Amino acid sequence: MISLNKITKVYNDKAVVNNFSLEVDRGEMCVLIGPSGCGKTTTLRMINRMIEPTSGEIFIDSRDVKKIKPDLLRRSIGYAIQMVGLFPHMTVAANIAVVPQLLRWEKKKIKNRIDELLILVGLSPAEYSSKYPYQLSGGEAQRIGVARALAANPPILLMDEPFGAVDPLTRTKLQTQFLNIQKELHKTIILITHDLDEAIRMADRIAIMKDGELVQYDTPENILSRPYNQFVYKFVGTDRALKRLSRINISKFIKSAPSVDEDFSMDKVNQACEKCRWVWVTDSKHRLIGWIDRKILSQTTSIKEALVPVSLDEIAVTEGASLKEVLSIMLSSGLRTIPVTDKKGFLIGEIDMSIIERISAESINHYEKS
Amino acid sequence: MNLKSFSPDKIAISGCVLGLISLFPGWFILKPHRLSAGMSVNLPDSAGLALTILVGFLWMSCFVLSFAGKNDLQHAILGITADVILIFVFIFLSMASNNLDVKTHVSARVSPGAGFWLTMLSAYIVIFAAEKKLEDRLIIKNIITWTAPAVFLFFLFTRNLRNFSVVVEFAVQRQRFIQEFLHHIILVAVSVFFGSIIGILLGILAKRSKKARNPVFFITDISQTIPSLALFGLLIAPLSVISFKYPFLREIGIRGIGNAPALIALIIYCLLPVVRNTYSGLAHIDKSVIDAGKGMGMSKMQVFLKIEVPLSAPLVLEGIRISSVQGVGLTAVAALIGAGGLGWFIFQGLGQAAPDMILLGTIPIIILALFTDGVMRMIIKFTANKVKKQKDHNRL
Ligand SMILES: Nc1ncnc2c1ncn2[C@@H]1O[C@H](COP(=O)(O)OP(=O)(O)OP(=O)(O)O)[C@@H](O)[C@H]1O
Ligand SMILES: [Mg+2]
Repeated sequence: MISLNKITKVYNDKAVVNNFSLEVDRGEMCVLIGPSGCGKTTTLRMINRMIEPTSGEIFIDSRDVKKIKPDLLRRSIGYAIQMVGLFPHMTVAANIAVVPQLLRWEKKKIKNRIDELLILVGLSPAEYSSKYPYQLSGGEAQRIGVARALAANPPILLMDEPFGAVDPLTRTKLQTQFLNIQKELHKTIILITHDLDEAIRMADRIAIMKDGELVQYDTPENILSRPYNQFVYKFVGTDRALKRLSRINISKFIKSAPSVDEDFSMDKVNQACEKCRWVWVTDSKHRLIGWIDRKILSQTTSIKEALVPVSLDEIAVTEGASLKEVLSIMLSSGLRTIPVTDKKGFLIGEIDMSIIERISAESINHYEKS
Repeated sequence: MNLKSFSPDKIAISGCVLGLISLFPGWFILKPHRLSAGMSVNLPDSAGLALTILVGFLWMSCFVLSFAGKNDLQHAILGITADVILIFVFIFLSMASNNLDVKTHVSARVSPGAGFWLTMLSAYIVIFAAEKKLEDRLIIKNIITWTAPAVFLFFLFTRNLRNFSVVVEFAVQRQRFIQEFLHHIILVAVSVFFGSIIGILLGILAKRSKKARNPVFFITDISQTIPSLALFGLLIAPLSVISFKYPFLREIGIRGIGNAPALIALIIYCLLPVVRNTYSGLAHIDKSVIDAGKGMGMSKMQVFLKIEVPLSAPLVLEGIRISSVQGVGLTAVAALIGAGGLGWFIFQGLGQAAPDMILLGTIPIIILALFTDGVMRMIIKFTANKVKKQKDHNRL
């Protein structure tokens, strides 16, 4: 657990971090976000004593960091700095190996760890191990920076805009990967970002900072639905309803879906259609292949004739999707109800637009304090 | 291909023109002994018309290459052609030297004349220009640099130049030459060694402490603006006084003249390039790199040894290279205050108006300087590879 207690940092008579208190529970990811220059980096660097606070105390697992030798403290905390700062005279592998070497790991263990980490950040060990930093793109360098911070498997990670320089597609991939690791390893993480979507996607709790002060510290859902003041309200933006949908998983809202097998007789289909306006059609392995509209049924003689075939990419969502993805598919396909499948295309259920309307209505459209 | 490389190389062209002109003035001066005026001989008379025309033809090829050369191969051929011209020059010298044998008596000698020196100069201008174009081609550059000196040494050791005035002079002064040559090398080595250590320490101090920075640079800059002769002179007085006060100092060789003031002056001259380069080598390290090192838990010493030392090494070595090449030349002046070294021949020669003796001091100094420069460049190239590329990358 990391606990910052009334931390203040004064530079040239100006408090760049002011009376800042924050608690991050063990195994939680806290995302620090706020305008440029609001003191995020300064706050982060006080935790591993790269900067000493003017006043206030910082505890890690109830130990005052002031009582831990800075070098030892830092070796137990993974730190990815904002400027990346790879060592230009060392290969990628040697860069990653720095902390394990400081901790005197065995050679073989280090080598394995390097390969493991490179794969984790999506770079092939064979290709990248022996490269020098000048041979890397900005995004690749940043990923090596993250790998380097993770190298010694520290229980605490401080990450200063770790994905700032990678393209959106890779960024999403890295975020997913990072979340997966987090699910397994439960590290205590403080991550700085400028990207609100990233914050909403990754954070257990978001800390919004302004001018060195903590404005709101809460779960992404609450930040979006109950912004504390006008600053947060503006910060999360007018699309906060949409952003909130991106945090909400569909699993709770899936209804069972009426479906027929493509080999069924017309009678059975008619029967199934009695209660609803349409039914989904699956193949013999219960994979979704299309739907049948009740109105058409009377004019046709076989399922094949009545079937409206579908492409899964265009109208179906998978189990892990968020309500935002559901909405997006509804808008592009023009359907109010869309099917939910698993990764292989088996029909699981359906989801209706009314859910989205209900959820959106829950978010209060004003902020708590003016 | 970039357009710039199509443009004619002005420096090389001037070298070629000078080279052609240098075929005309007198090439060799035949003297019966050291101090006589001697008799000037032109190249065609000495080496024959055919060979003279051949060299003229080589100069013309150099001219064409410097005018139109646009790739590394052509630049390399230009440099090698200039080498071939130098080899011919040495052949001519050995021919003149061998011819003399039969005609005159023992202490007779061949002194090089204006044409000879001009041709040497022109060839080195062309070689310099060609090497500049070759940039990173270290191997071919070294071949171009060292071919001519190697051939010269070959002729020297096969006794083909035994009547060359400098060799005659050497034969006369053999014992003394070896002594002063070794002394010169020791003076340079000792002063560069201590100058580098002190310089590196001062450079680190200047980087670490803002308070120390200005005084350090003030001292090194001042020392560099005092002409070398003056500094050597300045040290005579205080060291004499001190040594008279504390006689034991005289016993270990510290006197107003001699090795002590020479070494002190040489060390001081060594400082500036080393201090400057150490300072900027450290100052140019990306702050984020040091920050990352600290952030990962490196101790101050580890940051210094694992980050600052390797990253500043190329620049520091560059400073030591400048110091040592400069030191080889500067040590010549040390002879003036009785410290000996190759400068001894230069000043003796000047005093006796004996140009051959001056050359006996000068030529080894030039070879020593070139050699030091070459070796240091190789070392630097070896250590600088990765970091240099990093800089190129940043520039793009
Ligand atoms: N060493 C320092 N001396 C004086 N002022 C400083 C120093 N370091 C930071 N500051 C100031 O403190 C403020 C906060 O800086 P900090 O780097 O923490 O911002 P940040 O929130 O990380 O910004 P960004 O998002 O741009 O990285 C800035 O106004 C900065 O100018
Ligand atoms: Mg920052």
